[in-house]
Amino acid sequence: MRALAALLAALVSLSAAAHTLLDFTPDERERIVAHGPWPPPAVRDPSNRVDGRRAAIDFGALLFFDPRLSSDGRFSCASCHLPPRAFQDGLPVAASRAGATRNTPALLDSAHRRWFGWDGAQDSLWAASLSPLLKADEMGHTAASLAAAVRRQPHFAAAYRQAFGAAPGGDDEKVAVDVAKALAAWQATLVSPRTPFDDFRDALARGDAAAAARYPPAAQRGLRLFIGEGRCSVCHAGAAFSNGEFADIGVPFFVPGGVDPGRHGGLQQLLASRMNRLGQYNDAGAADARAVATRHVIVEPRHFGEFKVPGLRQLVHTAPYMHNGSLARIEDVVQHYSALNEERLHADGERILRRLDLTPQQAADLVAFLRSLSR
Amino acid sequence: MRPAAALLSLLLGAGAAARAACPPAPEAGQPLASGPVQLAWRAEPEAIAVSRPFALRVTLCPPDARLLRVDATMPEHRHGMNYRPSLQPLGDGVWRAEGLLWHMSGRWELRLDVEAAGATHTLRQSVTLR
Repeated sequence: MRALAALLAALVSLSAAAHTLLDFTPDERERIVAHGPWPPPAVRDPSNRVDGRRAAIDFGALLFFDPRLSSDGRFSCASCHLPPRAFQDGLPVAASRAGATRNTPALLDSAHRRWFGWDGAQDSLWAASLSPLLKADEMGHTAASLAAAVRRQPHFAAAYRQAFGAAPGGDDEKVAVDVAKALAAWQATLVSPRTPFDDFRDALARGDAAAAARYPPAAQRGLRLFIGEGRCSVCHAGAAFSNGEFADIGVPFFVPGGVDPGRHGGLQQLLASRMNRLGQYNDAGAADARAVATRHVIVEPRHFGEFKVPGLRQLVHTAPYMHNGSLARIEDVVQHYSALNEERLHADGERILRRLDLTPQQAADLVAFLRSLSR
Repeated sequence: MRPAAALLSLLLGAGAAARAACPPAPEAGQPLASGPVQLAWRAEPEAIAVSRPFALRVTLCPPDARLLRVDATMPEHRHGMNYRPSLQPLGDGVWRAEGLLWHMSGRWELRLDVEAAGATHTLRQSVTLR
Protein backbone atom coordinates (compact mmCIF):
# COMPACT_ATOMS: atom_id res chain seq x y z
CA MET A 1 0.00 0.00 0.00
CA ARG A 2 2.85 2.33 0.93
CA ALA A 3 4.62 1.54 -2.35
CA LEU A 4 1.47 2.38 -4.30
CA ALA A 5 1.14 5.71 -2.48
CA ALA A 6 4.77 6.51 -3.22
CA LEU A 7 4.29 5.66 -6.89
CA LEU A 8 1.17 7.83 -7.01
CA ALA A 9 3.02 10.73 -5.40
CA ALA A 10 5.87 10.34 -7.86
CA LEU A 11 3.47 10.35 -10.81
CA VAL A 12 1.68 13.44 -9.51
CA SER A 13 5.01 15.18 -9.03
CA LEU A 14 6.15 14.17 -12.53
CA SER A 15 2.91 15.45 -14.01
CA ALA A 16 3.29 18.78 -12.20
CA ALA A 17 6.87 19.11 -13.44
CA ALA A 18 5.77 18.40 -17.00
CA HIS A 19 3.07 21.08 -16.85
CA THR A 20 4.73 24.14 -15.47
CA LEU A 21 4.52 27.61 -16.91
CA LEU A 22 7.24 30.02 -15.81
CA ASP A 23 6.15 33.38 -14.43
CA PHE A 24 6.87 35.28 -17.65
CA THR A 25 6.44 39.04 -17.22
CA PRO A 26 4.25 41.02 -19.64
CA ASP A 27 7.44 42.30 -21.28
CA GLU A 28 8.78 38.78 -21.71
CA ARG A 29 5.46 37.61 -23.12
CA GLU A 30 5.51 40.43 -25.63
CA ARG A 31 9.02 39.49 -26.70
CA ILE A 32 8.06 35.83 -27.06
CA VAL A 33 4.95 36.58 -29.08
CA ALA A 34 7.09 38.67 -31.44
CA HIS A 35 8.68 35.40 -32.63
CA GLY A 36 5.52 34.42 -34.47
CA PRO A 37 3.03 33.63 -35.79
CA TRP A 38 4.17 30.74 -37.92
CA PRO A 39 3.91 30.17 -40.79
CA PRO A 40 3.90 33.80 -41.89
CA PRO A 41 1.62 34.96 -44.72
CA ALA A 42 2.97 34.03 -48.14
CA VAL A 43 4.79 36.78 -49.98
CA ARG A 44 5.24 37.25 -53.71
CA ASP A 45 8.43 38.52 -55.28
CA PRO A 46 7.48 41.23 -57.78
CA SER A 47 10.88 40.95 -59.46
CA ASN A 48 9.95 37.42 -60.60
CA ARG A 49 6.95 37.44 -62.95
CA VAL A 50 6.38 33.68 -62.57
CA ASP A 51 6.59 33.57 -58.75
CA GLY A 52 3.56 31.69 -57.44
CA ARG A 53 2.57 30.27 -60.82
CA ARG A 54 1.96 26.52 -60.80
CA ALA A 55 3.71 25.80 -64.11
CA ALA A 56 6.82 27.69 -63.00
CA ILE A 57 6.85 25.93 -59.62
CA ASP A 58 6.67 22.55 -61.39
CA PHE A 59 9.44 23.56 -63.80
CA GLY A 60 11.57 24.69 -60.88
CA ALA A 61 11.12 21.36 -59.08
CA LEU A 62 12.06 19.51 -62.26
CA LEU A 63 15.21 21.59 -62.66
CA PHE A 64 16.21 21.37 -58.99
CA PHE A 65 16.57 17.59 -58.97
CA ASP A 66 18.04 17.14 -62.46
CA PRO A 67 21.83 16.74 -62.74
CA ARG A 68 21.71 18.03 -66.30
CA LEU A 69 21.56 21.45 -64.71
CA SER A 70 25.31 21.15 -64.16
CA SER A 71 27.69 21.45 -67.08
CA ASP A 72 29.03 17.89 -66.75
CA GLY A 73 25.80 16.27 -65.58
CA ARG A 74 27.29 15.29 -62.21
CA PHE A 75 25.48 17.69 -59.85
CA SER A 76 21.93 18.78 -59.33
CA CYS A 77 20.91 21.51 -56.90
CA ALA A 78 19.74 18.68 -54.64
CA SER A 79 23.28 17.26 -54.50
CA CYS A 80 24.10 19.94 -51.92
CA HIS A 81 20.60 21.00 -50.85
CA LEU A 82 19.20 17.72 -49.50
CA PRO A 83 15.46 17.74 -48.70
CA PRO A 84 15.74 15.61 -45.50
CA ARG A 85 18.34 18.06 -44.14
CA ALA A 86 16.24 21.18 -44.57
CA PHE A 87 17.94 21.49 -47.99
CA GLN A 88 21.43 21.60 -46.49
CA ASP A 89 24.14 18.96 -46.93
CA GLY A 90 25.41 18.20 -43.44
CA LEU A 91 28.99 19.04 -44.40
CA PRO A 92 31.16 21.81 -42.91
CA VAL A 93 31.68 23.35 -46.33
CA ALA A 94 30.06 22.61 -49.67
CA ALA A 95 31.37 19.61 -51.60
CA SER A 96 31.89 21.54 -54.80
CA ARG A 97 34.46 20.99 -57.51
CA ALA A 98 37.17 23.15 -55.96
CA GLY A 99 37.97 24.17 -52.40
CA ALA A 100 34.80 25.66 -50.95
CA THR A 101 35.06 27.76 -47.80
CA ARG A 102 31.45 28.23 -46.74
CA ASN A 103 28.72 26.10 -45.25
CA THR A 104 25.84 25.30 -47.63
CA PRO A 105 22.83 27.41 -46.61
CA ALA A 106 19.47 25.75 -46.00
CA LEU A 107 16.66 26.81 -48.34
CA LEU A 108 13.54 26.66 -46.18
CA ASP A 109 11.63 29.93 -45.73
CA SER A 110 13.85 31.69 -48.25
CA ALA A 111 10.95 33.60 -49.87
CA HIS A 112 10.96 35.96 -46.88
CA ARG A 113 14.64 36.85 -47.01
CA ARG A 114 16.05 40.20 -48.03
CA TRP A 115 19.62 39.07 -48.70
CA PHE A 116 20.85 35.68 -49.87
CA GLY A 117 24.03 33.78 -49.12
CA TRP A 118 26.34 34.20 -46.13
CA ASP A 119 27.57 37.49 -47.60
CA GLY A 120 24.25 38.70 -49.01
CA ALA A 121 25.72 39.04 -52.49
CA GLN A 122 22.24 38.55 -53.99
CA ASP A 123 19.01 40.38 -53.25
CA SER A 124 16.51 37.95 -54.75
CA LEU A 125 15.93 34.24 -54.67
CA TRP A 126 16.27 34.03 -58.44
CA ALA A 127 19.63 35.84 -58.46
CA ALA A 128 20.79 33.53 -55.66
CA SER A 129 19.69 30.55 -57.75
CA LEU A 130 21.49 31.80 -60.85
CA SER A 131 24.79 32.39 -59.08
CA PRO A 132 25.77 28.72 -58.42
CA LEU A 133 24.62 27.69 -61.89
CA LEU A 134 27.15 30.04 -63.48
CA LYS A 135 30.07 29.49 -61.10
CA ALA A 136 32.93 27.42 -62.48
CA ASP A 137 33.46 25.72 -59.11
CA GLU A 138 29.78 24.86 -58.65
CA MET A 139 27.42 23.90 -61.50
CA GLY A 140 29.92 25.12 -64.06
CA HIS A 141 27.57 26.47 -66.73
CA THR A 142 27.82 29.61 -68.80
CA ALA A 143 24.61 31.37 -69.75
CA ALA A 144 25.07 29.93 -73.26
CA SER A 145 25.58 26.33 -72.13
CA LEU A 146 22.69 26.56 -69.66
CA ALA A 147 20.32 27.97 -72.27
CA ALA A 148 21.49 25.30 -74.75
CA ALA A 149 20.77 22.56 -72.19
CA VAL A 150 17.23 23.87 -71.73
CA ARG A 151 16.62 24.10 -75.46
CA ARG A 152 18.16 20.66 -76.09
CA GLN A 153 16.23 18.65 -73.47
CA PRO A 154 12.64 18.20 -74.72
CA HIS A 155 11.15 17.98 -71.21
CA PHE A 156 13.01 21.12 -70.13
CA ALA A 157 11.90 22.99 -73.24
CA ALA A 158 8.29 21.87 -72.79
CA ALA A 159 8.25 22.85 -69.12
CA TYR A 160 9.85 26.22 -69.99
CA ARG A 161 7.08 26.85 -72.52
CA GLN A 162 4.44 26.00 -69.93
CA ALA A 163 6.00 28.29 -67.34
CA PHE A 164 6.82 31.29 -69.51
CA GLY A 165 4.23 30.99 -72.26
CA ALA A 166 6.77 30.71 -75.08
CA ALA A 167 9.65 28.50 -76.14
CA PRO A 168 13.10 29.47 -74.86
CA GLY A 169 14.29 32.25 -77.17
CA GLY A 170 17.67 33.05 -78.61
CA ASP A 171 18.85 35.33 -75.80
CA ASP A 172 21.01 33.00 -73.69
CA GLU A 173 21.19 35.27 -70.67
CA LYS A 174 17.43 35.77 -70.59
CA VAL A 175 16.85 32.01 -70.76
CA ALA A 176 19.37 31.49 -67.93
CA VAL A 177 17.60 34.10 -65.79
CA ASP A 178 14.24 32.47 -66.52
CA VAL A 179 15.63 29.11 -65.41
CA ALA A 180 16.68 30.78 -62.16
CA LYS A 181 13.24 32.36 -61.79
CA ALA A 182 11.57 28.97 -62.16
CA LEU A 183 13.95 27.53 -59.56
CA ALA A 184 13.09 30.45 -57.28
CA ALA A 185 9.34 29.92 -57.78
CA TRP A 186 9.72 26.37 -56.51
CA GLN A 187 12.02 27.23 -53.61
CA ALA A 188 9.59 29.94 -52.50
CA THR A 189 7.13 27.15 -51.70
CA LEU A 190 9.52 25.55 -49.18
CA VAL A 191 8.19 26.61 -45.79
CA SER A 192 9.38 25.00 -42.57
CA PRO A 193 6.76 23.24 -40.44
CA ARG A 194 5.37 24.47 -37.14
CA THR A 195 7.38 23.56 -34.08
CA PRO A 196 6.79 22.96 -30.35
CA PHE A 197 7.87 26.56 -29.79
CA ASP A 198 5.09 27.79 -32.11
CA ASP A 199 2.46 25.87 -30.12
CA PHE A 200 3.81 27.46 -26.94
CA ARG A 201 3.96 30.94 -28.45
CA ASP A 202 0.41 30.73 -29.77
CA ALA A 203 -0.89 29.41 -26.44
CA LEU A 204 0.79 32.32 -24.67
CA ALA A 205 -0.65 34.79 -27.20
CA ARG A 206 -4.22 33.59 -26.62
CA GLY A 207 -3.75 33.32 -22.85
CA ASP A 208 -4.07 29.53 -22.71
CA ALA A 209 -1.85 28.78 -19.72
CA ALA A 210 -2.69 25.08 -19.67
CA ALA A 211 -1.58 24.58 -23.26
CA ALA A 212 1.49 26.77 -22.76
CA ALA A 213 2.51 24.70 -19.75
CA ARG A 214 2.97 21.65 -21.99
CA TYR A 215 6.15 23.27 -23.35
CA PRO A 216 9.09 21.68 -21.50
CA PRO A 217 10.36 23.72 -18.52
CA ALA A 218 13.95 23.50 -19.77
CA ALA A 219 12.90 25.05 -23.10
CA GLN A 220 10.99 27.77 -21.24
CA ARG A 221 14.07 28.60 -19.16
CA GLY A 222 16.21 28.59 -22.28
CA LEU A 223 13.74 30.88 -24.03
CA ARG A 224 13.88 33.29 -21.09
CA LEU A 225 17.66 33.41 -21.50
CA PHE A 226 17.34 33.80 -25.27
CA ILE A 227 15.11 36.87 -25.08
CA GLY A 228 16.65 38.26 -21.87
CA GLU A 229 20.09 37.95 -20.37
CA GLY A 230 21.55 36.22 -23.43
CA ARG A 231 20.27 38.96 -25.76
CA CYS A 232 20.17 36.42 -28.58
CA SER A 233 16.91 37.85 -29.92
CA VAL A 234 18.57 41.20 -30.63
CA CYS A 235 19.83 39.64 -33.89
CA HIS A 236 17.82 36.41 -34.02
CA ALA A 237 14.60 38.43 -34.18
CA GLY A 238 11.10 37.86 -35.44
CA ALA A 239 9.26 34.78 -36.59
CA ALA A 240 12.24 33.51 -38.60
CA PHE A 241 14.66 34.14 -35.72
CA SER A 242 16.84 36.36 -37.89
CA ASN A 243 16.89 40.10 -38.50
CA GLY A 244 18.09 39.32 -42.01
CA GLU A 245 21.25 41.36 -41.61
CA PHE A 246 24.91 40.58 -40.89
CA ALA A 247 27.16 40.32 -37.85
CA ASP A 248 30.65 39.49 -36.70
CA ILE A 249 30.30 36.97 -33.90
CA GLY A 250 33.95 36.09 -33.53
CA VAL A 251 34.09 33.13 -35.90
CA PRO A 252 37.46 33.31 -37.67
CA PHE A 253 37.27 34.38 -41.29
CA PHE A 254 40.67 33.09 -42.34
CA VAL A 255 40.53 30.64 -45.22
CA PRO A 256 43.31 28.79 -47.02
CA GLY A 257 45.36 31.42 -48.80
CA GLY A 258 43.62 34.49 -47.39
CA VAL A 259 40.53 35.81 -45.68
CA ASP A 260 36.83 35.64 -46.38
CA PRO A 261 35.65 39.28 -46.45
CA GLY A 262 32.05 38.25 -45.77
CA ARG A 263 29.47 41.03 -46.10
CA HIS A 264 32.03 43.57 -47.30
CA GLY A 265 32.76 41.47 -50.37
CA GLY A 266 29.11 40.51 -50.76
CA LEU A 267 28.04 44.15 -50.90
CA GLN A 268 30.56 44.97 -53.59
CA GLN A 269 29.42 41.97 -55.61
CA LEU A 270 25.76 42.89 -55.12
CA LEU A 271 26.13 46.49 -56.20
CA ALA A 272 28.22 45.58 -59.24
CA SER A 273 25.82 42.88 -60.42
CA ARG A 274 23.47 43.32 -63.35
CA MET A 275 21.32 40.66 -61.68
CA ASN A 276 20.27 42.76 -58.71
CA ARG A 277 16.86 44.33 -58.18
CA LEU A 278 18.03 47.57 -59.78
CA GLY A 279 18.96 45.79 -62.99
CA GLN A 280 17.16 45.00 -66.23
CA TYR A 281 15.95 41.55 -65.14
CA ASN A 282 13.70 42.84 -62.37
CA ASP A 283 10.28 42.11 -63.86
CA ALA A 284 8.65 44.88 -61.80
CA GLY A 285 11.24 47.51 -62.71
CA ALA A 286 11.09 50.67 -60.63
CA ALA A 287 7.76 49.55 -59.12
CA ASP A 288 9.47 46.84 -57.04
CA ALA A 289 9.11 48.05 -53.44
CA ARG A 290 11.62 45.41 -52.31
CA ALA A 291 14.36 47.18 -54.25
CA VAL A 292 14.45 49.88 -51.57
CA ALA A 293 17.06 47.95 -49.57
CA THR A 294 19.39 47.54 -52.54
CA ARG A 295 18.98 51.19 -53.46
CA HIS A 296 20.01 52.41 -50.01
CA VAL A 297 22.41 49.81 -48.61
CA ILE A 298 25.89 51.12 -47.78
CA VAL A 299 29.36 49.58 -47.83
CA GLU A 300 31.53 50.34 -44.82
CA PRO A 301 34.75 48.86 -43.44
CA ARG A 302 32.81 47.49 -40.45
CA HIS A 303 31.13 45.01 -42.81
CA PHE A 304 34.40 43.16 -43.25
CA GLY A 305 34.12 39.72 -41.63
CA GLU A 306 30.40 40.01 -41.04
CA PHE A 307 28.21 37.10 -42.09
CA LYS A 308 24.47 36.59 -42.37
CA VAL A 309 22.49 36.11 -39.18
CA PRO A 310 20.90 32.75 -39.99
CA GLY A 311 17.35 31.85 -39.09
CA LEU A 312 17.10 29.22 -36.38
CA ARG A 313 14.12 27.20 -37.54
CA GLN A 314 14.79 23.50 -38.23
CA LEU A 315 18.17 24.00 -36.64
CA VAL A 316 18.59 20.35 -35.63
CA HIS A 317 18.63 19.40 -39.32
CA THR A 318 21.22 21.92 -40.48
CA ALA A 319 24.40 21.00 -38.58
CA PRO A 320 27.25 21.83 -38.73
CA TYR A 321 26.91 25.53 -37.90
CA MET A 322 28.40 28.95 -38.67
CA HIS A 323 29.44 30.33 -42.06
CA ASN A 324 32.39 27.95 -42.22
CA GLY A 325 30.66 24.96 -40.66
CA SER A 326 33.21 24.97 -37.87
CA LEU A 327 30.84 24.05 -35.02
CA ALA A 328 29.44 20.53 -35.15
CA ARG A 329 26.64 20.60 -32.58
CA ILE A 330 24.11 23.03 -31.14
CA GLU A 331 25.91 22.57 -27.82
CA ASP A 332 29.09 23.89 -29.47
CA VAL A 333 27.26 26.99 -30.70
CA VAL A 334 25.98 27.74 -27.21
CA GLN A 335 29.47 27.23 -25.82
CA HIS A 336 30.84 29.62 -28.46
CA TYR A 337 28.66 32.42 -27.10
CA SER A 338 29.30 31.41 -23.50
CA ALA A 339 33.06 31.84 -23.93
CA LEU A 340 33.20 34.71 -26.47
CA ASN A 341 36.43 36.62 -26.85
CA GLU A 342 35.15 40.13 -26.17
CA GLU A 343 38.49 41.79 -26.92
CA ARG A 344 38.33 40.47 -30.44
CA LEU A 345 34.71 41.50 -30.91
CA HIS A 346 34.86 45.01 -29.55
CA ALA A 347 37.82 46.14 -31.60
CA ASP A 348 35.55 48.47 -33.59
CA GLY A 349 33.70 49.80 -30.57
CA GLU A 350 30.47 47.88 -31.06
CA ARG A 351 28.92 46.44 -27.91
CA ILE A 352 26.22 44.04 -28.97
CA LEU A 353 27.65 40.71 -27.91
CA ARG A 354 29.18 39.87 -24.60
CA ARG A 355 30.57 36.72 -23.05
CA LEU A 356 27.64 34.87 -21.50
CA ASP A 357 29.52 32.65 -19.02
CA LEU A 358 26.62 30.23 -18.86
CA THR A 359 26.34 27.62 -16.13
CA PRO A 360 26.00 24.03 -17.38
CA GLN A 361 22.29 24.20 -16.49
CA GLN A 362 21.80 27.44 -18.44
CA ALA A 363 23.65 26.02 -21.44
CA ALA A 364 21.47 22.90 -21.37
CA ASP A 365 18.33 25.05 -21.12
CA LEU A 366 19.38 27.17 -24.08
CA VAL A 367 20.01 24.02 -26.12
CA ALA A 368 16.58 22.67 -25.10
CA PHE A 369 14.98 25.88 -26.36
CA LEU A 370 16.93 25.87 -29.63
CA ARG A 371 15.95 22.25 -30.25
CA SER A 372 12.30 23.20 -29.81
CA LEU A 373 12.56 25.35 -32.94
CA SER A 374 12.60 22.20 -35.06
CA ARG A 375 10.07 19.55 -35.89
CA MET B 1 -8.54 92.46 -64.04
CA ARG B 2 -5.52 93.52 -62.04
CA PRO B 3 -7.41 93.61 -58.70
CA ALA B 4 -8.80 90.12 -59.44
CA ALA B 5 -5.28 88.76 -60.05
CA ALA B 6 -4.03 90.41 -56.90
CA LEU B 7 -6.89 88.90 -54.93
CA LEU B 8 -6.16 85.47 -56.41
CA SER B 9 -2.52 85.84 -55.59
CA LEU B 10 -3.39 86.87 -52.05
CA LEU B 11 -5.69 83.89 -51.65
CA LEU B 12 -3.07 81.49 -53.01
CA GLY B 13 -0.50 83.05 -50.72
CA ALA B 14 -2.78 82.64 -47.77
CA GLY B 15 -3.33 79.00 -48.74
CA ALA B 16 0.40 78.34 -48.92
CA ALA B 17 0.89 80.04 -45.59
CA ALA B 18 -1.79 77.81 -44.11
CA ARG B 19 -0.11 74.68 -45.47
CA ALA B 20 3.23 75.72 -44.01
CA ALA B 21 1.82 76.79 -40.65
CA CYS B 22 4.32 76.88 -37.83
CA PRO B 23 4.53 74.85 -35.75
CA PRO B 24 3.49 71.90 -37.94
CA ALA B 25 0.02 70.57 -37.24
CA PRO B 26 -0.26 67.77 -34.65
CA GLU B 27 -1.25 65.26 -37.33
CA ALA B 28 2.11 65.89 -39.06
CA GLY B 29 3.69 63.65 -36.42
CA GLN B 30 6.29 63.81 -33.66
CA PRO B 31 7.36 67.42 -33.02
CA LEU B 32 11.00 68.44 -32.63
CA ALA B 33 12.57 71.89 -32.33
CA SER B 34 16.03 73.41 -32.35
CA GLY B 35 16.66 77.16 -32.59
CA PRO B 36 14.53 78.57 -35.38
CA VAL B 37 13.67 75.13 -36.77
CA GLN B 38 10.54 73.23 -35.88
CA LEU B 39 9.64 69.97 -37.55
CA ALA B 40 7.32 67.04 -37.29
CA TRP B 41 8.05 63.53 -38.52
CA ARG B 42 5.87 60.56 -39.17
CA ALA B 43 6.91 57.04 -40.13
CA GLU B 44 5.43 55.31 -43.18
CA PRO B 45 4.18 52.74 -42.39
CA GLU B 46 3.25 54.28 -39.07
CA ALA B 47 4.43 51.37 -36.92
CA ILE B 48 8.17 50.87 -37.30
CA ALA B 49 9.01 47.15 -37.12
CA VAL B 50 12.36 45.47 -36.54
CA SER B 51 14.18 44.92 -39.82
CA ARG B 52 11.40 46.29 -42.04
CA PRO B 53 12.22 49.20 -44.37
CA PHE B 54 10.31 52.38 -43.66
CA ALA B 55 10.19 56.00 -44.75
CA LEU B 56 9.77 59.27 -42.88
CA ARG B 57 7.51 62.12 -43.85
CA VAL B 58 9.09 65.25 -42.43
CA THR B 59 7.32 68.62 -42.24
CA LEU B 60 9.72 71.53 -41.81
CA CYS B 61 9.10 74.94 -40.37
CA PRO B 62 10.03 77.38 -41.79
CA PRO B 63 8.93 75.70 -45.02
CA ASP B 64 11.91 77.03 -46.94
CA ALA B 65 14.27 75.13 -44.64
CA ARG B 66 16.14 72.22 -46.26
CA LEU B 67 16.40 68.70 -44.93
CA LEU B 68 20.07 67.83 -45.38
CA ARG B 69 20.39 64.44 -43.76
CA VAL B 70 18.44 61.75 -41.93
CA ASP B 71 20.32 59.11 -39.99
CA ALA B 72 19.92 56.90 -36.93
CA THR B 73 22.24 55.16 -34.51
CA MET B 74 22.01 52.80 -31.56
CA PRO B 75 24.14 54.64 -28.99
CA GLU B 76 24.37 51.69 -26.60
CA HIS B 77 25.49 49.38 -29.40
CA ARG B 78 27.70 52.03 -31.02
CA HIS B 79 26.49 51.35 -34.53
CA GLY B 80 24.19 52.91 -37.05
CA MET B 81 22.00 51.70 -39.86
CA ASN B 82 23.22 49.58 -42.75
CA TYR B 83 21.37 51.94 -45.09
CA ARG B 84 21.65 55.61 -46.08
CA PRO B 85 18.22 57.23 -46.62
CA SER B 86 17.50 59.29 -49.71
CA LEU B 87 15.72 62.64 -49.34
CA GLN B 88 13.03 64.03 -51.61
CA PRO B 89 11.30 67.43 -51.25
CA LEU B 90 7.54 67.14 -51.74
CA GLY B 91 6.88 70.90 -51.55
CA ASP B 92 5.51 73.25 -48.92
CA GLY B 93 8.20 72.23 -46.45
CA VAL B 94 7.30 68.54 -46.62
CA TRP B 95 10.07 66.00 -47.30
CA ARG B 96 10.20 62.25 -47.68
CA ALA B 97 13.18 60.27 -46.40
CA GLU B 98 13.19 56.78 -47.86
CA GLY B 99 15.35 53.75 -47.14
CA LEU B 100 15.51 53.59 -43.35
CA LEU B 101 15.76 50.17 -41.73
CA TRP B 102 16.29 49.49 -38.03
CA HIS B 103 17.63 45.99 -37.79
CA MET B 104 17.59 45.56 -34.02
CA SER B 105 15.18 46.18 -31.19
CA GLY B 106 16.29 48.66 -28.57
CA ARG B 107 16.94 52.39 -28.40
CA TRP B 108 17.61 54.22 -31.65
CA GLU B 109 18.54 57.87 -31.87
CA LEU B 110 17.00 59.49 -34.91
CA ARG B 111 18.96 62.46 -36.24
CA LEU B 112 17.74 65.06 -38.71
CA ASP B 113 20.01 67.81 -40.02
CA VAL B 114 18.15 70.87 -41.26
CA GLU B 115 19.46 74.01 -42.91
CA ALA B 116 17.57 77.19 -42.11
CA ALA B 117 18.61 80.82 -42.42
CA GLY B 118 22.12 79.82 -43.47
CA ALA B 119 22.83 77.59 -40.47
CA THR B 120 22.65 73.85 -39.95
CA HIS B 121 20.60 72.58 -37.03
CA THR B 122 20.63 69.02 -35.75
CA LEU B 123 17.45 67.64 -34.23
CA ARG B 124 17.45 64.34 -32.38
CA GLN B 125 14.83 62.04 -31.00
CA SER B 126 15.17 58.84 -29.03
CA VAL B 127 12.92 56.03 -30.21
CA THR B 128 12.71 52.63 -28.55
CA LEU B 129 11.90 49.85 -30.96
CA ARG B 130 10.35 46.77 -29.39
